[in-house]
Amino acid sequence: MQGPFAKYRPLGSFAQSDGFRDEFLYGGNEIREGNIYLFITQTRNNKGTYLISDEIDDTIGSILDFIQFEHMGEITNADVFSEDVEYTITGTIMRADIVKDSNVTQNQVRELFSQNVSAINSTDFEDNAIFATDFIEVDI
Amino acid sequence: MKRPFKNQRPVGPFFQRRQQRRREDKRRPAGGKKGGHQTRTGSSSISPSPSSNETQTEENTPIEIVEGATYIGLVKHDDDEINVFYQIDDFFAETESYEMKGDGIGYIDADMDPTQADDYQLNVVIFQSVEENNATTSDIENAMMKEIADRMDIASVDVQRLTLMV
Repeated sequence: MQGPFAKYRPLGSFAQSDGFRDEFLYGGNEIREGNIYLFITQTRNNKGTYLISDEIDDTIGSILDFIQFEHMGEITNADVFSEDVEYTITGTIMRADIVKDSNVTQNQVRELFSQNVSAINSTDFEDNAIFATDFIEVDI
Repeated sequence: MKRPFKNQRPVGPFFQRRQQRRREDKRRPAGGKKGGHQTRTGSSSISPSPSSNETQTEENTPIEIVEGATYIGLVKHDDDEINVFYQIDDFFAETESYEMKGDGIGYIDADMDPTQADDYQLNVVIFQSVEENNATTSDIENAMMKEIADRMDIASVDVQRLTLMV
């Protein structure tokens, strides 16, 4: 069965590197089949969010050999205001449909996503507009 | 509609805990809200976390709210008539320990569970703890659930700490 992000697999340099599997598999909270996960980004504005979507797709595509996610929805432009900064939270809601390798952990996906976002942050965004990412499991 | 790969679902502690909550929900008296795992009784204020000498298994230990940290609260519901954000806003306005940082909306447009209908909406709130009060994420979930569920039909609430990094 071909996954929804198969056309993206594997694009990232990390996924293409030798020993990707060995590097990728180490301890942390496992990803559980049927559970819901969020890819979260925090940006200084909402420009270029399509680039973030590409990085989410690339991250998911990079781990298709281990986990297949199903897209469930989006968190769109959760504007956040504080005294000194205005920023936006965007996110993608995913369900872990098939876990082929339970050794893949949430920490690994979080770090891989952060790596992918970091790579585009300084080149494709003015003033490094993306300044935070996260990958979390939610219980809803 | 049955979930795909139902026979392959895990039997780990997290999954078992969720199944246990759903079984308990089904045993609650009629008139309660559907789904969810939050307690419907007790004070609407945020209560302190359990004392340290209480025995808890690791999997059931709530995450303590840390002053200055950022959290994300997710409210799942299927009520299109009420703006959930205002309900959440009211809740945070009544507490002085937390500063609401914004709002957002997501949509869950796929089947979540065989016992629940499609097209649930997911509202999101970002908040920050502004003082130490020994509350936990479970305390926040319970308080939000009670406060909001008094005004609308709500499925569940989940609060997670964000460890944002780039």
